[in-house]
Order: sequence, then structure tokens, then C-alpha cells
Amino acid sequence: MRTASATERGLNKTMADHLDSPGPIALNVGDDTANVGSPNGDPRTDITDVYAFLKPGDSTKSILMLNVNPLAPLLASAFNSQAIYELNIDTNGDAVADRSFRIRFSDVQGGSQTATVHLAVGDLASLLNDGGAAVIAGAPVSFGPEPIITVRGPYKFFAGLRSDPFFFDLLGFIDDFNFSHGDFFNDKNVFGIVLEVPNGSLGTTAGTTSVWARTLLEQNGSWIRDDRMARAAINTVFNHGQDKNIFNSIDPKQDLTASTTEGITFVTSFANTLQALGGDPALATVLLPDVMNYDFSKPTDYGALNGRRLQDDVIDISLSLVTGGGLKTDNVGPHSDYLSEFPYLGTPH
Amino acid sequence: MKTLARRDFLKMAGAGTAAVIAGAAVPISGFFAWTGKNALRFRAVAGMPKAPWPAYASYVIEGDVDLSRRSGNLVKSIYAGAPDAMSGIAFPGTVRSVRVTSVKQSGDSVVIGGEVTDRAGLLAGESPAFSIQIDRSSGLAHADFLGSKVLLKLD
Repeated sequence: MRTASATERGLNKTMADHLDSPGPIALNVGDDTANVGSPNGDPRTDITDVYAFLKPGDSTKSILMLNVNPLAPLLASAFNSQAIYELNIDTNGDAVADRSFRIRFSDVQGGSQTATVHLAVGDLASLLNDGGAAVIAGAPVSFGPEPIITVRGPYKFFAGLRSDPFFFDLLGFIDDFNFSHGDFFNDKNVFGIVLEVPNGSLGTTAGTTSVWARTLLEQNGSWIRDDRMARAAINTVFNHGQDKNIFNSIDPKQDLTASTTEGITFVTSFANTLQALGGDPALATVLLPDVMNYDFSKPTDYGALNGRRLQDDVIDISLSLVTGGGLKTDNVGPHSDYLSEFPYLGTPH
Repeated sequence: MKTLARRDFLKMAGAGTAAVIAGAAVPISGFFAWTGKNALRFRAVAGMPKAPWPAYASYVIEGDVDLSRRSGNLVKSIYAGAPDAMSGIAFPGTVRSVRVTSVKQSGDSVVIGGEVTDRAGLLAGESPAFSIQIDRSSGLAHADFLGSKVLLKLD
């Protein structure tokens, strides 16, 4: 059965990891306002990275992080008030959200913006909505160098402009893997959303827990899937052209059965790409469904496929994995500006 | 509200700077056209990195050249997104303005030489010298990107 194309779904956009064509932008240049491209794309909801790790020094709590808006504030200088930012938790290994932290933002007024976090559980968590019990309300967004942290009960929350923690020789990747150009992201910023939560809020089945993030945009009175991400660079490396959009428009539970524009399943497509790159095609069913395993009863380590810390070298791990060891490193490492405490993201540049 | 062309944004953003240039996430094709007896305009596009990796970005070289005067202006940029779904976002630090300094024409082949006008923006090890060989019969062009040879499409 053929899968409807992204265009047929009204998704004339391409959004995914870091600068992977984050869609159109409205620009003001002098007296000119240019609003180019489709209405669906938006750098404010373009997910750059997702992290899930045990709180340093307190393994009874976890840190969940969703970063958006690459090159911030160059492309956009606030969160989208017409969007839902989701951190989804699957507790039983079926790639369906059983718990979902939904973050929404107010309009920017007088240079200020606030956030509300709802926690949806059960069936509500798997639906496209912003429902659930409020765990954080009226949390100010940080636009300056000092992080504004909101604490409500067992939850700690931050949202705002911070140093991009991602590290990668992007130009080396483009330059035929001549990894000699240094860390492209060393001086870049993102808009970060950081939650500290008690592990109990993630369920009680640590061994089958996974995390992924998604952004939803309001369109004609309903919510549409905009971008999603779990492990690093999955959509970037494995999906071509419009397949990136199809991938963003489906839920992880559909990853094993949905078809690409070529009429093959994403699993087959991933296996073909792995084979072409020198990797093991069988890894396709490890990488899909695209969720990030997060067993919070064990130490966080991206290399062990268990969560992701800021300092985990996801590019080195991924390069080695998908090329069967043919490529091992991009020769850049973690940034030196990570904070040792909440919100962990460094001061914006 | 109006739609602005990529070229207009290049001008406004200031080519050669760390620019963000907006445009739609749409397919961008190369082209080659004579705009006068001895004047040509072209856009050469390549997806990067090369297959079998999915193209993550697009290398675009475009501009106008006066063959008789051996002059012209080109812009080379790296845009986010593959050529079939390129965004208008140029990676910061990758936009270069090139002043044409030489033109050699032989049959269907045109070799255009030039130099980057804003040398202060060059990356470490990046040469200010520029060259592109356009083969009109095949619709292809050869240029380099940070020292690596790249095959670009003109149509």
C-alpha cells in the first residue's frame, strides 16, 4: 500500500535535526517583510537535539531536554505560542507515548514570554493535544545570559536562549568527510527546554522506557505533527528528500510499517542505506522505531543506547555504527561551557 | 508582504558575511542561459555530501559573467537541505562573493576564474582563488569546495 506523500498531507516542508532545512522564515529587512515558503515550517519548532540523562549527583531524578531553533536567535527570537513542544515517554516498549510533558508558551508581550507544562498520562498522552495536569505554570522564558529557573514541587524547569551543546564538524561532513574544519556549533545558540523530573514521573518500568520529542503546530483548528526526534541524526542520515517529511508526520509506532516515497518500508530503506555505507543492515530494526531507550535505573550512556548526555559524542558513535567502523570520528569533542548544574546548557554566545 | 528572490536576499544580507538568507524549502535547479551575445548567467547546484549519504546540504554557485570583458560576479554558498528540498538558510560563514578575473572558452567548455572578495571571512586553509569549469554539452560543472572536487549540475 502506498503511503500518502508529504505534499498530499499538506506538509511542503523539510524539518529535522540541526540545520537540516528548517523550513521557511519570515524576515524583516528595512520596511520589507518577506514571508516565504510554506506555512508549516518554522525554526522555532525545528528540533535540534533531545537529551535524557540521570541528574548528576542524584540518580532518583532525570533531566529531559528538548532543544529547538538552530542558530538562535538569528532565525527566530522566541518560542512559538501556536505550538506544542512534547517530551514523550513510552513506558512499555510499544513506541506509543504513555506519558507526555507538553510545553506551551504565551505570546511575547513586552519582551517577555512564559511557559506552561502539562503532564498527560495514559491514552491522553498518545493523542495530539495539550491536555494533562499542569505541573508548571507561568514560568518565565530566559532571553538573557542568566538562566531563569522555575521550581514547582518535584519539578524544575527552564526554557530560553542558551549555548548549543551539540558538537560536530558539519563542514567536514559536507566536505566528503574531510574532518578538519573544526566544530561548527562551537559558537551557536539554541532555545532550550529543560525539565528536571522525579524518575517516578517516568513510570515504574525503567527497563522498557524510552523518550522522544515532537513539536505540533496548530493548523485550521487542529494540531499537525511538525518535527520529531529521538536519537541523533536519524532523519538526517537515513531519509532522503520528502521521506524526511513523511518520517516527521508519523508516530514512532508506525516506523516499522510505514512506506517511503519509493514504496519500500522505512526499515528496508534504513537497511539499504546501512548496507551502502558499510554498516550492518540488521541495525535498521535497532534504530527503528526512532525512540531513545532510557533505562533510568542504569547509568546514562548514548554508546550503550541508554539515554543521552550533553557530552556524549553521538556523531562519533553514529559514524562508527552506520559505516561499520569505516569512519570513527569527526575529530571534535564536547564543548567546555556546559554547566555542572541545572539547566546544564551553557551561557548563550 | 511579498516574496523575495534568493538573489535579493543575498544583496540585502550582504554576501560574504555570515548571512542567513531566507527562502522557501523548495527544489532548486541549476540553469545556464545566455543573457547577451557574450554574457551568461548560471546556477550550478550539488547535493552534499555525496551519495550514498543522503544530501544534507546544497552547494550553489551562481552569478553573471561577461565573457568578452572577462568580468562578472558570482556567489557560492552552502544551503541547508538537499537540492530537492533546499531551504533558504545559508550556513553561517559559507557565503562567498567572487569577482571574476579570467574566462577561457573552448567549444562547449567555459572555465571561469576569480577571487573571493572578502578574504577576512575565509576559513582556515580555504583558498581565495576560485575556479569553475562549465561544460554546457553535459550540463555539468566542476568546482571545488574547501579543496575537494565537486560535480555540480546546471540543469
